Amino acid sequence: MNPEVLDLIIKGVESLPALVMAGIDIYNRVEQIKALAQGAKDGTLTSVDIAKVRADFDANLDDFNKPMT
Amino acid sequence: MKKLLLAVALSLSLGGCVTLQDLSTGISLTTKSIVNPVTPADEAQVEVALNAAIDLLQAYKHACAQGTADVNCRANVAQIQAYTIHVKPLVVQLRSFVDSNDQVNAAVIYNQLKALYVNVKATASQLGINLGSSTI
Repeated sequence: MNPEVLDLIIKGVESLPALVMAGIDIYNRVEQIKALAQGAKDGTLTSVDIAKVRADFDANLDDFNKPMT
Repeated sequence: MKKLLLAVALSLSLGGCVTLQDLSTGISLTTKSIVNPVTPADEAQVEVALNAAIDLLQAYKHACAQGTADVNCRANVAQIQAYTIHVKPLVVQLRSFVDSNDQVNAAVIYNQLKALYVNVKATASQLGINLGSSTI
């Protein structure tokens, strides 16, 4: 894997302890990271899996970017 | 005379270090897009990792809406949104370049996304929101 990409992944995953400290359930996020990493390693990751990740990210980001009323 | 020689040797040594470092950085950046392409799997993992950071920002925003966050939270959210609003179009471009295996443009967009993430993280940190312990 590209070391630059790996670095960004590591830094992003580092936010997980902060999520726990904030009382947020990280189970689904951790499962998602595990499944992706395993799929990439085994070569079983499909375009459907990737599309699901992208859709999840879009929805979460769009929700955060909505102005506060 | 010995001092002069030492100074010259030191300056040559330091000058050499800088040049080598610059060169190696240049090589690293040049080869990144060819030897280590950004695959769709890599890009998806970046999105999951970034999504974890967005989770935390979401929690702060929700707490703010419920009135349980700090008094400046609305301004803080708006300040972070000024950066996160630019993430979406970059991610859309990155996906497109990765899918079409345009590694040169994928690397350019990837670096912009990385810089944006640094800004989001720094701004959040200034506002007391911890998105992780280390810097990129």
